[in-house]
Amino acid sequence: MSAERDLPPMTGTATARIRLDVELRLRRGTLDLDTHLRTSEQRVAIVGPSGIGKTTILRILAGLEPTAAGRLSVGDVTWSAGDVPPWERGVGWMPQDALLFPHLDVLENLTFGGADRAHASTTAAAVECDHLLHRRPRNLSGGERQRVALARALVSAKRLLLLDEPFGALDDARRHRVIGAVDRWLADHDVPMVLVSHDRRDAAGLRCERWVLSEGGLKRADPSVAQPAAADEGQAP
Amino acid sequence: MTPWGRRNRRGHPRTVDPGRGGGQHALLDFSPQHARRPRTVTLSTRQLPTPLGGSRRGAVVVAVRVRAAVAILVALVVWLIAAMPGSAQVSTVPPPLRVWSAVSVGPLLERLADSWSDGTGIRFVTDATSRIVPQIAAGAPADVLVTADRTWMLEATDLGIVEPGSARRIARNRLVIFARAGSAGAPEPDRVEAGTTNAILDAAAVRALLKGVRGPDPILALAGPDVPVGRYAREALRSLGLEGDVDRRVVAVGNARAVVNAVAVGEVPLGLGYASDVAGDPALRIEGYLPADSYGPAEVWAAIVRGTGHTAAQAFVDELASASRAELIRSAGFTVPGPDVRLDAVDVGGPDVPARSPGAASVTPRRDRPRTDGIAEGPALGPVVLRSILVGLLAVMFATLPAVMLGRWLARTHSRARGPVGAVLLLPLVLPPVVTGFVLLALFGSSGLLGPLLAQFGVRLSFSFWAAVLAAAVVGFPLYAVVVRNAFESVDPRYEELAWTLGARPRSTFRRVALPLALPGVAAGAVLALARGLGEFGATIVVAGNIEGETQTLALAVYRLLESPEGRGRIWLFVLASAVIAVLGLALWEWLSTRQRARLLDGGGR
Repeated sequence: MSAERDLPPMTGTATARIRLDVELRLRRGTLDLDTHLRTSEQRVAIVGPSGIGKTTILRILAGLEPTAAGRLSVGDVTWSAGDVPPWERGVGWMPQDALLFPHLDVLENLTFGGADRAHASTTAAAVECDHLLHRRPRNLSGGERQRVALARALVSAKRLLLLDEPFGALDDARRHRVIGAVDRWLADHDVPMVLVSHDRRDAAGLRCERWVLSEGGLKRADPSVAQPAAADEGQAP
Repeated sequence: MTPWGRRNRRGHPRTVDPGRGGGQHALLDFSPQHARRPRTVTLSTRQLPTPLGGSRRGAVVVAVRVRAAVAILVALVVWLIAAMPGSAQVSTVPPPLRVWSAVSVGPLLERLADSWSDGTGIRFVTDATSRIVPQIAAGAPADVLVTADRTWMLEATDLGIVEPGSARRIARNRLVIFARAGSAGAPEPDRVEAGTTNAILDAAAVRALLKGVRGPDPILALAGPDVPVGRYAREALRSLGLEGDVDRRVVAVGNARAVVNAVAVGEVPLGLGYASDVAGDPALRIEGYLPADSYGPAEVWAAIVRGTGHTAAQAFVDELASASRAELIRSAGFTVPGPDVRLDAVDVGGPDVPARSPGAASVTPRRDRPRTDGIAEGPALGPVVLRSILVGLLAVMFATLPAVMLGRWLARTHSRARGPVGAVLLLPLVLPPVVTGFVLLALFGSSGLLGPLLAQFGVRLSFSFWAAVLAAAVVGFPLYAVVVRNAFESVDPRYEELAWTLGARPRSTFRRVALPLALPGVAAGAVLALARGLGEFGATIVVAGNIEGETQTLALAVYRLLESPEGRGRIWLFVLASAVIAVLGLALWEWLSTRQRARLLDGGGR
């Protein structure tokens, strides 16, 4: 609720400036991450085998891993990885399992971070869950929960959008439409997105720059392999 | 605020058609709600423009419900306080005279009080002398102390808890061996009619009595060695040379009444106790008196407690010692001692009054002691139940904040102190409550660690209503905190992480996410702590005493009835009340635990 007020407005045009510059190190249990990601693209997809730490990278970016070291630049703001607490980052984080607050209805979930109701309901409408606004999470199907969680992330993403397998529970037709909605949202907002998905269609549909996470670290995928190369932004497909 | 959102709403209000989306949804998604309510969409879109409509409705409803529950609780407590006669209220009536007495003297005192001319009310607290003297020394609110022997009165004088020179001897008791009425007696040819014997038992007669009992141990009930009647009994057995005969075949119980009860209920075939306790009890039969010179003078002494300031204390003690009371004292099964003696005037050693032959007692106790004289009704059920519930509720209220804070901390911390703190927390759960009570007394007693400090602010905690609340709170706290800890542990920490990413700081996250999700568990903990508090006995009796009309809760009332001649009939009422309250509490707890599970199953996953 206060995050919105505290943050400087995000301005800027779609130039070739560096949007994301991330250098992260985290060693925890069997996990040993040492990654570097630097890109001028707005849309980044991280792919890789499961268990390699893709979700953890998103958590570090959200500020949920205080033991992580390194630094993180989003646009013109730079944080050291573990320092700035998550409530001051202005990220929209959509975890893999939706994690809707079970004691609140959908609208309350969407406005939890202080967004006004009109904004919340238009965003909900965009990802096709505005008819659920007064339902409790327990009365939603898996796909509905996923869409509400996506809407919540979009509503609260001020600086950075983090999506973890956001479309997995959607059928093909709806996945296509929801991807379209996220695509439009990104076109309208100067907010970088990091997407973690095992489905190539997601990264392709959102025209992401693909990065591959392996034992060796984070490497940019061969652009020729990534299907449609990053197109110019700001234009609806 | 988001250009994207505004443009859609203003420019292309139907770009993403909620109606169409919903319709398709209904086709694609076969969730039952949709099948039943295809028009949800219309409803929700209609609600959108309302400025302050249903957005926070769910949260408001929950908050209202919680607030209503708290309000009802507070109202209940206020009502209970108001309904409680003289518990926490300031009364305009002069305070009753608080007489703490040996349990064996209780019935006599109550009869004396009944005909006492003074208008002051009297409140009795009765237990073994060996327990009431330390309790008064620890600050229990007493005006008059009545002991069952001289040694304890001397001890009380040494401890400085009675006014020097105020002790008076008021009666003398005798030891009897008794059996349950109707049981097979000893083969004593000269035994007189049941309950009316005046026979003095010599060593051989006692031996014959003991031998006459069939079956294995134990055969003889007597009070513990610190209780006057227990000490006299042991003295008598020793001087008759009977120690070897009884040896391990005795049951030591808490006080004079308990000896009587052990025999009356048939637990032990024979008892060695005070004549005054046995006389007039139709459930018992006196087998004979022990020789008066075989044990120290079983004298009843009364004194004014130092610093009492109660104007009626002196009058009451004088009344007890006055010769005009002799008849009444005799009729209660005591003998009347010689000339009025003051404590400092007697030497503690041998018997100062020639041993009276029991046969010389002019009154046959049993017949002269009517059972239905309207005195000593014992505790009344209503106030006791109300007080119990009030003590429990207040205890839970005081325990809530610490329990929630500690439980939450234990559920989430990674601190190294977590283990030790968790163990210390569980301590009152595994310690005998009596030990907990002792520790509390050591802390809050008038000579304890914090007691003097509290006294400077005019607060006396020990042996007050609030001490009972304290005991219930401390004993219930571990259960409370453990249940709260489990409730918080069962909440997925990622909900809180998610709240953080949405801009909520930890404090706000606790209030808006963690606490609501754990709330049914917290309530379950409160109910469990309440139930524990209602059943609390051990710590309460040590730190608050068993003061009728002040600290006496259900458990204590049952304990009191257990040891009073009137109690055997009424005790079931109290037991039933305890059982009903306990069952209601557990049912509520079960319901709340189920709700905690249901709340967490709500959503989240998949």
